[in-house]
Amino acid sequence: MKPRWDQIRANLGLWVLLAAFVAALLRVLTLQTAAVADNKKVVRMVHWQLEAGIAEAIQEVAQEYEKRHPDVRIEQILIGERGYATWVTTRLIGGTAPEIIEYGQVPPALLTQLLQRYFLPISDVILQPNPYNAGTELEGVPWKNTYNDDMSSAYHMDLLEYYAIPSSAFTVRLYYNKPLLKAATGLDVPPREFRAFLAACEQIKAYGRRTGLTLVPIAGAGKYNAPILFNRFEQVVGTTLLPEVDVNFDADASGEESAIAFLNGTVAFDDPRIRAMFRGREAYIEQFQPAFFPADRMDAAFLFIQQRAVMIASGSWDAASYAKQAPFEIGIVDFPLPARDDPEFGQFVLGPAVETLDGGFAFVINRTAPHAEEALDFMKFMTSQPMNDLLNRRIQWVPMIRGNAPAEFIAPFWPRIDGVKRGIWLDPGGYNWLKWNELLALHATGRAGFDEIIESYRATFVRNTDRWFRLDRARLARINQLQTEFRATAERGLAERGAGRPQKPRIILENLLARKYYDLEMTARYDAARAATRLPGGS
Amino acid sequence: MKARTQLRHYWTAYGFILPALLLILLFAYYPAASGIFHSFFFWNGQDISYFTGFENYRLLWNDPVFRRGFGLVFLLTVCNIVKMFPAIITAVWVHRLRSERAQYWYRVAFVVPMIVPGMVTILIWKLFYDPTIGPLNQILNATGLMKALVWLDQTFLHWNSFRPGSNPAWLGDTHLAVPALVFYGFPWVGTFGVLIYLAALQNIGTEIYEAADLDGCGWLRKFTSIELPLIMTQFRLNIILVFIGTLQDFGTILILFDQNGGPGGVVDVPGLYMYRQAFFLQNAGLACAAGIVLFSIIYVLTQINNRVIRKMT
Repeated sequence: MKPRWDQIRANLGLWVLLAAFVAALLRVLTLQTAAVADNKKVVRMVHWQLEAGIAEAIQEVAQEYEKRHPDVRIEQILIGERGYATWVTTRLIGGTAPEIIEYGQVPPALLTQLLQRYFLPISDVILQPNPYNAGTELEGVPWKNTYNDDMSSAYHMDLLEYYAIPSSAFTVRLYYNKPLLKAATGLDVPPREFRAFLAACEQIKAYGRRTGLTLVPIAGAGKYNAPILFNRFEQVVGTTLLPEVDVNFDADASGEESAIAFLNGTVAFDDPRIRAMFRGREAYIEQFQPAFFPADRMDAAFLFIQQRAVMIASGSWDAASYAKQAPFEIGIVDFPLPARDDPEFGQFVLGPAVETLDGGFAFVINRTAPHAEEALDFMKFMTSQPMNDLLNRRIQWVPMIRGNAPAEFIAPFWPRIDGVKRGIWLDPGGYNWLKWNELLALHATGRAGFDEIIESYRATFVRNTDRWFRLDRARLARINQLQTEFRATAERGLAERGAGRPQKPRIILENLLARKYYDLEMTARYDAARAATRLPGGS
Repeated sequence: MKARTQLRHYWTAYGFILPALLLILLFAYYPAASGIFHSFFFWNGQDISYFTGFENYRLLWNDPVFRRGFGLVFLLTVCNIVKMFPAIITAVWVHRLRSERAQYWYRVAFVVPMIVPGMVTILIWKLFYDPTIGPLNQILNATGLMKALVWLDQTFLHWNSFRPGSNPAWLGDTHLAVPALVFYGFPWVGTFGVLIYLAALQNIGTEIYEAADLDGCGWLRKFTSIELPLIMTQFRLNIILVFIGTLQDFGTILILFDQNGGPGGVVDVPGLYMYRQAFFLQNAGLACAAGIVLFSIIYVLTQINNRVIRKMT
């Protein structure tokens, strides 16, 4: 007996390997048998929403769909955010990607190629009514127009097609710990007026000192929660810069326009409105925990949940998660911002900050998958008025379909559609963004004041903007190459169908011209501003 | 002819190493060759690519952000070499334990932490440095050391990093970021280093120690004349690993601080610069050039290290 055991022990590695192989084989066979046995069409859906409740809400919608379509089964695949892009890309290339894929996480340049190669353009489909809206107020309304934003956020500018199918809208607000705020300040709700808000923050700090608690008014994270507050403040006090920056009169300040404004001197870096933006930033920094700048999203959330911070700025996507984790009652309010009567900032303020109702939590259809048609049908079902309502109530997100209202807890997230827009971007392009953030870290720790930061930023602005434009122009050249192919297709389409009727090829050509004009216009303006600039390194 | 005969005779052996060889070629040599190739291109890492000659190298040479990282790398390398000694001392101490059972348990104690993922270790240190809830500030406050640091700052340093009634921001202060990075990993008794030295020390025969005892050598003399020279091979290997690790590593800084290299970029290193160029600015060509520069420096330092230490031993 003993020699035999010795023999087994000597080959133990091989036995373990064989056992693992057999187990894996059996597992695959079992799964395949189960899939084939019920003879159903399996529509797979992948997303990165691992937070509790989201997969369950989708499952509920899927079960409703399966009741109506007994020959279809919806299967969810959950992949973490970090590995999502790699997982999707390799599956697409390998030809095994699921039918429905959550849109995002993939770098923009790669996304364009993937969309073009693998995903179903839905520009034609969305002009037809969604059949699952039958019996609702949206019956007969084109699918596109059942969305609050007419699906505008789903349009892909470079490819001139609609691909994504959104379900929810996302905005940002200030969350607060109701009992702690009450205990520290006696208030039920944080004040909306900026000065009163800062006074309440001082009360919170005093309460912390009095009770010996480690307590900060707002939990901040340098790249996440803090910029939410900074950006909203900059939007309000910098809005009067918009007429000076917006050279193409689209009522929006782009990064390119902002760079041009700084280069040609239309806007000076030490403009009083930019100085005011910094003053606001300094006021907020006083309310964050020390060293908020290197802190990340999780660190800030930890402070809030652990009741070391009374407030936190974050998006509607965190509402359900905070509510689940927090052992206290949470309130949600709009941000405190200076009004027109503010003694310091009032001169720059025209009104509150406007928000857009952009669609998120969007999915695209993989046209190379076996059941793409059923997948598209399921997405119509999921974005029908009743199902969109069900889904968003379960997840506690803001619904995107007309006629649906958010659940009571997240009602404060409904976007404000009256107000002023942002006037300028201070950090246009990746290189300037890096430099700007490097300097802001010094500002956040009191190591550099406004004048020092501006001086240092000015010194590298031309060089960093040049590097950004160089990359961006190369990207545009690549897009132009793609557009040439589209243009040929569109022209061929027009010739074949005749030019008399309004149709898709004509729309493509019109969009192409508009896009081309924008690129050329911006390039010409940039060249002129670059030649005339008096900033360091401009010669 | 001889080669062909050898191949015919040993074809099974060559067959066994072939898969490994192919994988190494595919995943190690091909990316390296691609890196050299693309360092001469303006390349976004995906679909935009055109030849620019030595432009990327010129940009690197003129980029103060890339250059500034080498100063910190030099400092960290010196510190990391000094940080090797606690591991050597610990290994010698464990080796000299008379009880074999105690030696065994110490070895086990050093192996167990290896199962903790590196990422977790970094996150624990990040929490340790947290100014609001981190244990470091709590310890300093509880022991009264914080007051001493405030006094030191106000009297000699004038950094304004330590203020009465306020916790210092170890990872967010320009003056404290580098010391925090150097202090990272305290007491610097790395598992890997200790085990390597222990393995080397176990090869020293007991007769050498007996002879040393007869000659009346004390513990220090035994260390300098017996143990240190006999672990020099491992020491040399570790120094090379320290050079390579310090020049290449940016993950710790990325997680502890951010992709910008901490407050004002004071803890920026060339590896982090390379990462930013490739994955944030989509300038993969420049990142490749930075990688080639780093590789060249590591290669030269390794050669120097080998020659100098070989002469020393």
